[in-house]
Amino acid sequence: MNSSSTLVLIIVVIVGLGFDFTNGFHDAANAMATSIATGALKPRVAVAISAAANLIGAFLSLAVAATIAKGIVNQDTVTIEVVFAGLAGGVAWNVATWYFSIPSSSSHALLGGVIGATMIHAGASAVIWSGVASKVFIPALFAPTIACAVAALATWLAYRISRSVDEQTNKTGFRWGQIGTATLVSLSHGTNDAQKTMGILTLALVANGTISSDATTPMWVVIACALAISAGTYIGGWRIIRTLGKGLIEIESPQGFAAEATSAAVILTSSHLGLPLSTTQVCAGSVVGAGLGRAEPVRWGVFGQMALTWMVTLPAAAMVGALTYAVVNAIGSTAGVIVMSLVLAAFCGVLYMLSRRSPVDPSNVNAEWDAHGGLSHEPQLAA
Amino acid sequence: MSTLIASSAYINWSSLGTVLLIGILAGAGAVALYSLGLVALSVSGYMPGADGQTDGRAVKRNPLALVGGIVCLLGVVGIAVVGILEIFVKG
Repeated sequence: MNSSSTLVLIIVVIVGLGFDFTNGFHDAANAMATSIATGALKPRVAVAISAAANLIGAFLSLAVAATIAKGIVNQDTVTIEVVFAGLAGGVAWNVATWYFSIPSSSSHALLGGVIGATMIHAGASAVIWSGVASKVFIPALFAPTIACAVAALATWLAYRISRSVDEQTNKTGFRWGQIGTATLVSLSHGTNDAQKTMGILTLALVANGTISSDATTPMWVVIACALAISAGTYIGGWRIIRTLGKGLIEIESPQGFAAEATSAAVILTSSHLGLPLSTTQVCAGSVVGAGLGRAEPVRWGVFGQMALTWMVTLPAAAMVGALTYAVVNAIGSTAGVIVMSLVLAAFCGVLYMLSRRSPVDPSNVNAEWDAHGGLSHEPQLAA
Repeated sequence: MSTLIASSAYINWSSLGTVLLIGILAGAGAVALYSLGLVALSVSGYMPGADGQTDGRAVKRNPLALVGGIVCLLGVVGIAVVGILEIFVKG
C-alpha cells in the first residue's frame, strides 16, 4: 500500500465520519422532536439524552454493519473511489435537506450515492435494481403508512382511555412516557445508523486492501463511528427538529407518547425482521398518525414536501455520487479525491453560512409555526 | 396490471404484515397499557392532583388501584425491555 492510497483512505474515513455526523444531527429529530415540542424535555437535555442513547446503541450490535449496500450493488465492483463518491452524495444530500429543514432518509442518501458512483464505474448492470425496489422504494411507501395507521390507533386509545384523568396528571404522566420511548428510538437509531457508516468504512478498508474481506469491523471504526453519530446528535439538527415537532401538527404529550411508542415498536420489529424501513419515514408517519388519531388538522403541505423529498432522495444522491466519481476518475484518484472533498467541504460551508441568515436553535425551535411555513426568512422549497 | 403484479413481487407482504401486527400489539398496546396505568394511579388517590397536592383533601386512597397502575406501567417497561433485548439477540 503506497502513500497516495493511504491518503485516499484517510480522506474517505474523514468523509465517512462526516457523513455519520450529519446522520446524527439530521436524525436527532426522529427521536426527540415530539418531546421537545410538547415540553417533555428541554431542547439541550433532549439532544444530550439522544446522543448518549445513540452512543450506547452503536455498541449494542454489529449485525447491520455487514449488510450496507448488500443486495443493492454488486459488491465486487466497489472500489475506494466508489465509496468516497457514495459518501459525498450522502453528505451533500443530508446537508441540503437540513438547510431546507426537511427530514429525509440518510440511509437512502448513502445508498443513492453508492448506486450513482457504481453506475459510472461499472455500468447500470452492476446495480441490483430488484434490490433497490424492494429495499428502498417499496419500504419508502409502506414505512410511513404503517407507522401512521398504528400511531393513529395508539393516539385514539391514549385519549379514549385517559379521558377521566385530570389534565395535570395526564400531561405529566405522558411526558414521562415520552422520555422513555424517545430514548428507545434513539437507542435503536444508534444501533442501526451508526453501523451503516461502520459498514461502509469497513468496505473502504477492504477495497483498499487494509483488511481482508472476511475481517470483522475494526474496533477503532466502531468507536469513531459511535462518537461521530453521538456528536452529531448532540449538535442537534434544530431545523429538522422544528419541522417534525411543530410543522406537521400541533402536538400534545399523549400524541407525542403515542407517536414515539409506535416508532420504537415499528423500527425494532422491522430491524429484527431485516426489513429496511427508514427511521425518518417511520417517525414522520407516526407524527401524522398522532394528528389523525385525534382528528386534528395535519399540515399536508409540509408532509407533501417531505414525501416528495423522500421520492427524490435516491436519484438526487445518485447524481451527486455519479458526478463525484466522474470528476475523481477524470482528475485521477488521489488528486480527484482531494479536489472533490474540498468541493464538498465548500458546499457544506456555504449552506451553513446561508443557514445563519435564519438560524433555528434551542431558543426558537418551539416558536409558533406561521402561515408561511415556519420562521420568517426560513428557506422553503415551496410556499 | 402487469406492472402492478410485477412490482408486488418485490414486496415482502409477510414481513410487512408482521411489522403492522407487532406495531399494533407492542406500540398501540403499550400506549393503551400506559394510559390504563395513569387512570389507575389517578383514581388511587396517591397521585398529586392539578393543584399538586394530595394531603389536606378528603381523598379516598385505593391501594388496589395503585398496585394495578404500577403493574400496568411495569408492563410497558417490560415491553420496552423486550425491544432492547431484541437488539442484543439480533447482534
